[in-house]
Amino acid sequence: MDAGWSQEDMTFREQVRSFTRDNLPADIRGKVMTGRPLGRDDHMRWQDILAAKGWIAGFWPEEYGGCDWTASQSYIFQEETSRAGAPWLLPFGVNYVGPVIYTYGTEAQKARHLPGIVSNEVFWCQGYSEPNAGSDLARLSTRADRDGDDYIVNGSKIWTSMAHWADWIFALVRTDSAAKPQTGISFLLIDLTSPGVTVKPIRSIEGAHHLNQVFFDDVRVPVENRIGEENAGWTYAKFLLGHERVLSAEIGKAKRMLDRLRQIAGERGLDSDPFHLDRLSRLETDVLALEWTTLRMLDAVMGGAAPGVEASVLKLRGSTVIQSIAEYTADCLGPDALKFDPEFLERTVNDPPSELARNMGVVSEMLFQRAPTIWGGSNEIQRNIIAKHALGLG
Amino acid sequence: MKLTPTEEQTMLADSVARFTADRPGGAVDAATWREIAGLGWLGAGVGEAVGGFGGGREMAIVIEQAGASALAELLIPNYLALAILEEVGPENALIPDIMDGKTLACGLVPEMATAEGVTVDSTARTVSGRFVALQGASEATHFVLVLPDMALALTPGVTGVERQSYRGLDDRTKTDLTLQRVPLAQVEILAEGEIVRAALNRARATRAAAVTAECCGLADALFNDTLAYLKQRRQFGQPIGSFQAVQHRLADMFVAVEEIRSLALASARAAEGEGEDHPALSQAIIGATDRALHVAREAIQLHGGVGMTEDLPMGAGLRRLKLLQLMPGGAEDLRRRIIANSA
Ligand SMILES: Cc1cc2nc3c(=O)[nH]c(=O)nc-3n(C[C@H](O)[C@H](O)[C@H](O)COP(=O)(O)OP(=O)(O)OC[C@H]3O[C@@H](n4cnc5c(N)ncnc54)[C@H](O)[C@@H]3O)c2cc1C
Repeated sequence: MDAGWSQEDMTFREQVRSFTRDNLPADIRGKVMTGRPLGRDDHMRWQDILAAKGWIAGFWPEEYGGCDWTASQSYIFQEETSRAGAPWLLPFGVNYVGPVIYTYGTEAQKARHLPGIVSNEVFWCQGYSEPNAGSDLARLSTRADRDGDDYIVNGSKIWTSMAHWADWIFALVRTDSAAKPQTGISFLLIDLTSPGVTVKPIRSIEGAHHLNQVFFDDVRVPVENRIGEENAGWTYAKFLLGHERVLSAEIGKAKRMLDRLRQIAGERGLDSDPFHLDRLSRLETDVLALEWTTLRMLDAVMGGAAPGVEASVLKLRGSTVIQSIAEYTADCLGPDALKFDPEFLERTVNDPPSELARNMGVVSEMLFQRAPTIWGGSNEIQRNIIAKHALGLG
Repeated sequence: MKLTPTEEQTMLADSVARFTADRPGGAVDAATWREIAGLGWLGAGVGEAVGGFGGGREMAIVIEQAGASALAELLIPNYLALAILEEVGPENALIPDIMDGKTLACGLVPEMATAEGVTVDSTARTVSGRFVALQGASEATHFVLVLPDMALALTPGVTGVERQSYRGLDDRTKTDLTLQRVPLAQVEILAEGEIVRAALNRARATRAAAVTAECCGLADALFNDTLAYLKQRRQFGQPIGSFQAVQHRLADMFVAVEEIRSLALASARAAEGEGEDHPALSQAIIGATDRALHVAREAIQLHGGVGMTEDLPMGAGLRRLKLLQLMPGGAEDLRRRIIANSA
């Protein structure tokens, strides 16, 4: 099945493939392929390699350090690198705050913050969700009160991925509590070393630490760190969520996970088991349908269409397809999935891959993959969006 | 029909529920075990003739009420051992010792072994097999094993018996037990020949009743937690539970729990009798596990970020249920066996 890629796209695919093959460190690839948790260093090492090649922010405009990649090039890059076992390129700087800054920021903000993202020197995290504002993000209550040239920030953010590794957080804060929820929000860039910031770990169900709660206790943030207008933060936040959702169908990763599923099933002599073949074939079909849905939407975007409800379709299926592959892979391990010790995984993460660690990695991934249906606008919210905006219901 | 619980059964359920509610999540120590023995609950699965007070139903009631705590998994291997002993050795001194909480036992049936199964070499007079991810086996002093034509009891000290414990998927101790050509001369043969068949059937029905009861207790608790959370958690200015999309999901979870309850009751009835029709028991285990897993996944999803937090019942419930699904003799294994047998 041929989507009719252009010659440039095919050449680019070859370039990404051979670059990844030659430059992705074997130990990092080993961790990704076995589902073991990655450390900050693992992410940073790979991202440094991409930064040196100039590929970390490939879709950005050249003037800000990108390569002006087309949407299809971004897609190819993601597909090829993840299929080959590269770590997930952390999106917080490159995909989220970077585009907000070059679209809405001042010249001073661009000069200050964009280079650190392109060089992979500054680690960002995303401070949107709060204990009482998740799906209903607009009701967030972390407040920023003006005091001369500063805001004074109080409140807390929760589920902040990798905040314990981050240097900066971009946060939505309330600057007008009298206004309607959406209209009293501002978008702030906050240095996490500021006095009054505390980051507390939250362990997740696979026993790993990537989630945090970030507390702000009279934290002073210069007004110059506000993006755009005061009380207009919701506009920038929505722009960012648009970027978040386009990336949500990870075809390369899905294919990589299918490769591993086939390998594990083969080890266990399931490759001629009709029951297994039925399940495998359903998952392969799911990936095929997801891939071609993504390609159709990609083509539409390349033709100038704005991604609308398509983004919700991709989020919905991208998350559930990967979730199902992850769970069925653990199921194929059968009784070998029953030894599971997150502390062992953490302790031995730099040891050469072993079958035991691989099995635990598969289990860890199965548990972690419950998250994508919750985050980034939960799947229930995506269905509401489809029903309302695409189907005209309600 | 005899499907509605008797007054005694309802009282038993209430008292176990109160007991476990007072000890949320807590590990079961020796003192708790003695207390349980003192309350007589270890005798729930066997009849008065051997000093117990019940059968399959009563056992299932205790397990279900303990199902959301660590207690259930310790009760089950002891109940299974008692059920086997009641069939093949009602006079055996192990029975009162187990019921008094003095001896920890672990009952075993062939499905709990790895695919190679359990084999008796009648010439060399040895037994071999490998059981994985056993619960309550690390401290057990007696293993009670029933095979199609032999029932036996053995202690861990015997030649060829090896135990290895580790942290399991459910975050609790699990044990692999290897029997490598264990000389029959060193084990206690409880019964041999034709009569053992009934004991094996009884043990299988007991295991099905126990697993389905645990699924029931666990799923019911996860459902109730989720229901309570969705009534209290507010987004968009109203309780999340007021959204119809969410209501339908809860309604489906409720239906799943009802069906698990039915499958558990069917299994418990089978365990009260002589032991029964094997495929239906496997289907009950498969059906209860599948439904409970559905409830656990939905519980996580509907709790949002909170559902992903370790140390809360949702993730722990999913991990426990995956263990029940993937262990030898669990839903996944039984499903494959059913398909293989009908091919
Ligand atoms: C692993 C992980 C990483 C995350 N990383 C980050 C991060 O880095 N930064 C950040 O800001 N946030 C992050 N999040 C938070 C994530 O965006 C929120 O969890 C998500 O928005 C849901 O919010 P909530 O958890 O408050 O759930 P709630 O909004 O309370 O929702 C609970 C349940 O109700 C459902 N629901 C809510 N409203 C409706 C409705 N109207 N109709 C139907 N169903 C509804 C939801 O779908 C969900 O199932 C992360 C979350 C996870 C799990």
